[in-house]
Amino acid sequence: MTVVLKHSIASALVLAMCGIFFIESLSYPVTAARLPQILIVILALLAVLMLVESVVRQRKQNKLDEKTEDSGLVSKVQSTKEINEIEKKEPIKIKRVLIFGTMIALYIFLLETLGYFILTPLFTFGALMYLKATNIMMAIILAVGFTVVIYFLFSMLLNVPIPLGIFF
Amino acid sequence: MKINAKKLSLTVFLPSLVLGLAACGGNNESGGEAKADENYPTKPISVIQGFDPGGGSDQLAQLTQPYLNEILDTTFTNEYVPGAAGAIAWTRLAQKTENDGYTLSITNSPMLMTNYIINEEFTYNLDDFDPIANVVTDPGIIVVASDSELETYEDFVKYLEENPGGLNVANSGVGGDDFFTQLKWMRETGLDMELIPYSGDGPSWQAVAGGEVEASFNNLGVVYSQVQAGNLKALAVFSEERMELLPDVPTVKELGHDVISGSARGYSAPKGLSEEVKQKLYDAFEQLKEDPEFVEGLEKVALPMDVKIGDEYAQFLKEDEELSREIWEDVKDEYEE
Amino acid sequence: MEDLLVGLGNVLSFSNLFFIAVGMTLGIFIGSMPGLSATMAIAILLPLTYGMDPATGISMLAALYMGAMYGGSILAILINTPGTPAAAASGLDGYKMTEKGQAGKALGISLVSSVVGGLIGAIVLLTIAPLLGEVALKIGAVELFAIAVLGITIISSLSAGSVVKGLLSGTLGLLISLIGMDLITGTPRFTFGNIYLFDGISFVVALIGLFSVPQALRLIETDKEAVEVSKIKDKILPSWKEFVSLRMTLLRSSVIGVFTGLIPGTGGDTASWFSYNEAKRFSKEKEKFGTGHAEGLAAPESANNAVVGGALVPTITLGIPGSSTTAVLLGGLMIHGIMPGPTLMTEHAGVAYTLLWAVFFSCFFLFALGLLYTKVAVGVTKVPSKVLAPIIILLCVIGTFAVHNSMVDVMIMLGFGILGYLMDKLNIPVSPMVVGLILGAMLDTSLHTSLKISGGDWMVFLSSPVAVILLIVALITVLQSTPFFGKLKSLVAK
Repeated sequence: MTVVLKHSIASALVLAMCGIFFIESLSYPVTAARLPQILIVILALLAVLMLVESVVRQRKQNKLDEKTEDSGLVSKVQSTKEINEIEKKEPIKIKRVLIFGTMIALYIFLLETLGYFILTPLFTFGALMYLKATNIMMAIILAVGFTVVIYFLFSMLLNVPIPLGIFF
Repeated sequence: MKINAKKLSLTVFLPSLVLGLAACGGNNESGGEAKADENYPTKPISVIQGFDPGGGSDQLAQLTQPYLNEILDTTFTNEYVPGAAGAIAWTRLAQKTENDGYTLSITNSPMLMTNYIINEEFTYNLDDFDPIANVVTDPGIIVVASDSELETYEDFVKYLEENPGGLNVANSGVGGDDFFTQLKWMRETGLDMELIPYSGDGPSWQAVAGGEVEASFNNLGVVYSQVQAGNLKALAVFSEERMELLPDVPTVKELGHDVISGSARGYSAPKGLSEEVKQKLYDAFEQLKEDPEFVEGLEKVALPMDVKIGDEYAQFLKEDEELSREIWEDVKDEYEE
Repeated sequence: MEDLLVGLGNVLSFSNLFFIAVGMTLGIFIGSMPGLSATMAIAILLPLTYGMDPATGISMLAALYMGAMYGGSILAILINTPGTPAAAASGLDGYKMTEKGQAGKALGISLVSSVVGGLIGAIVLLTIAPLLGEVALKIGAVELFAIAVLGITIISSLSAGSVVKGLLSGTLGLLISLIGMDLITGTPRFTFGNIYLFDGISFVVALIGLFSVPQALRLIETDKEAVEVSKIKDKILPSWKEFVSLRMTLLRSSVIGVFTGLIPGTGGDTASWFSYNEAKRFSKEKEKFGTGHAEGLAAPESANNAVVGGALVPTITLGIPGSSTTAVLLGGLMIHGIMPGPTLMTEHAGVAYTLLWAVFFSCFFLFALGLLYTKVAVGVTKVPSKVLAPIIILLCVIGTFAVHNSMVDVMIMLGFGILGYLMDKLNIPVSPMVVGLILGAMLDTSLHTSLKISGGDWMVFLSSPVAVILLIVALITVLQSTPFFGKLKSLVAK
């Protein structure tokens, strides 16, 4: 994804939020609506500015690239900083992030029904195995171990509520 | 691919599970539990609190429940579900808990009613509860700074008669008990003043002590130690009779304005408790009221005891609801605009 | 004076010291867990004290407060998952040090700074508390508004890289903080009919999402280890020379901490960001902030522990809680049958003075126990990223749930997690948003209250000398970040 595209999407999202919030705020009493409306306007302006800024940066970047190609020089030093700001050094493993993210979301959305004791070891084990973090034995030990330790620390020692679910 | 298999089994498993549970839940409503009720309570009683630990509700719980534990020979456990001025806890009590007497909640009035009177988003109401007993009522009180020119309640009234709307008077927030006390008082006297909301009783009296506003409608228990220490001056209190804690402070009623108001806290259950369970709980509070140690405990922290049991409590809440609703209908345009 | 000595005698009993140690241990631990803040720590352990002598119980809670304020930054430094809002500022430079393999050193600076801050707060509390107590009453809505405005200017100095993105992040934070019931009119704003949003978004919840979830995702998105393993032999305590070089930062930040603590409604979260900003303003090496600079870590750490002493000043002398944590402490006193208020120091002198000394002595326990805990905690840097990631998520979910006993909070946390991750990918800094979240509601309510009192007259903000001074400082801060100021400075230099 190009830098400009990324920023366009972000700006669009922020602007959409501004729109929804602004319409919502129209029904509030004047005093309650004042500050939010000021902030919404500022936010919308900043979103536009951010897009403009990314376009300007991209152009600069392109020019720089052209120059490097034209002169054939490896004047990378100059542009390193800018590149670093735009691209991370290591490639992102998008698929891995998405799957791990889905696991987190599933964990959270099912926690209230299935409960802590069923889901926590399952999530920990699944995540460790998927990420190839440890071997299978270690994953089992960690999964069960953490479930028990956290339960004892939070629920028994500190008496803090834990989402136990419907079975407990 | 392991993951996919797991996800698949979950998607199949979960709906059937939910269905099964829904069926179980439906059956529990009626049934021969009469025998169980005779032995009530046979397990710990859970108290849902709509506010954070350490707050006013918790205070009441900690002062009351050790005695209730003994009287009923059980354990009261607290569950804190703070949010939306208690409404999250009360919605849960009304809609999601069993009416078997093992789940109660501390109910604050007028907050319990004003919540849904003001916000239609709240879906519970008084008819969803079986009020058990009120325990304390902290009466409203008018305080001014110690160096204020307003020496007495009469000065306060006179000033407002001569300068309508000429005083800034703090309350603990729109919709709070002090806010409603102000509205009730303004309606009774026909006087006008500028209402300045703060986020709680503390900031409200501090604004008076710091000279930011001229007076505060507050609660006796909250400002008692400040009045004792001379940081604040109490003009009048909104109780039926003069309070033992401040015997020199007149009531608003004896000065000719019939306004009784305050912040009350007690216990309520979800609607539909069996008669046996209800009676056992009523008796427990009846006994609690007579315990000298309990009474002394309340006095120490300036919380005026005001035990109203069963129908009396229900009646009190109902009347307060009607009055609050009437008052809100009068002024709501100013706030909703 | 006599009471002071009686209190000293009380606190030095074996049982009191023992429970101070217990409170400290638990405090450090609870504080270091995401979601579990100092306020919650006290609320959790309050019931434990019901059976104790009031002086002992309250001393234990004070130690707990001190410990939790310190503990919050441990995981912020080690794995960039701040446990409390106050610790988020410590993570800025702290985690950068860890990345460079200086985890031990970072924890050492954090510990020493916390102890210094705690001691300064305690000394203020023991000596001039009655004089300062009145300050809490003098801070009204007008002054709070000026403080909030000054706080918001911090956003500009946190906007390294792109000013536009920093401001965007900060404005978004301010707007999000307005979600919930409006204090003045009672209108629910941006709740879209959901009663779980009536109290607004708790910033502990938002913070966990913004920092911890993206951190967990960052840990797994590459196969490279994020952090260099800190050598076991890595010296933890800073050398005397390093300590001396930090003395001005420590002193300034502690004073900021004490005053922020004094003001009702502001606590460690505000203090740490303020002191970070001031440390940067006065530093000769501004550009090093945010890259793993010792001053940037020492400032918030000393400030948030100095808050403990500061916040207790109005609590003890007037019965006005100086922070949300001391509000719970007050509740605790009530439950022990002690009426907090101006009469506390006279009617319950024994309890009051024992508490004051307990705060002082808890600093020594903080040092000893903190050192021990730190030595163990450094080990976290040896845990492989991919094992750490799921564990961070677990702690976040359970910790967030514990805050209000609410699954809705956990979902909000996840939402902020996704937001934080995307912001990271777009190089939008998260810290300005945190500042916005902390200050937004304060800005809104103080503005409304001030205008309501003045009858709509904006000149009210010029009626208070304190407010005027603060607003001028804010103006200078804004000017400092514009190119205009640089030119002016070079002109003067010539």
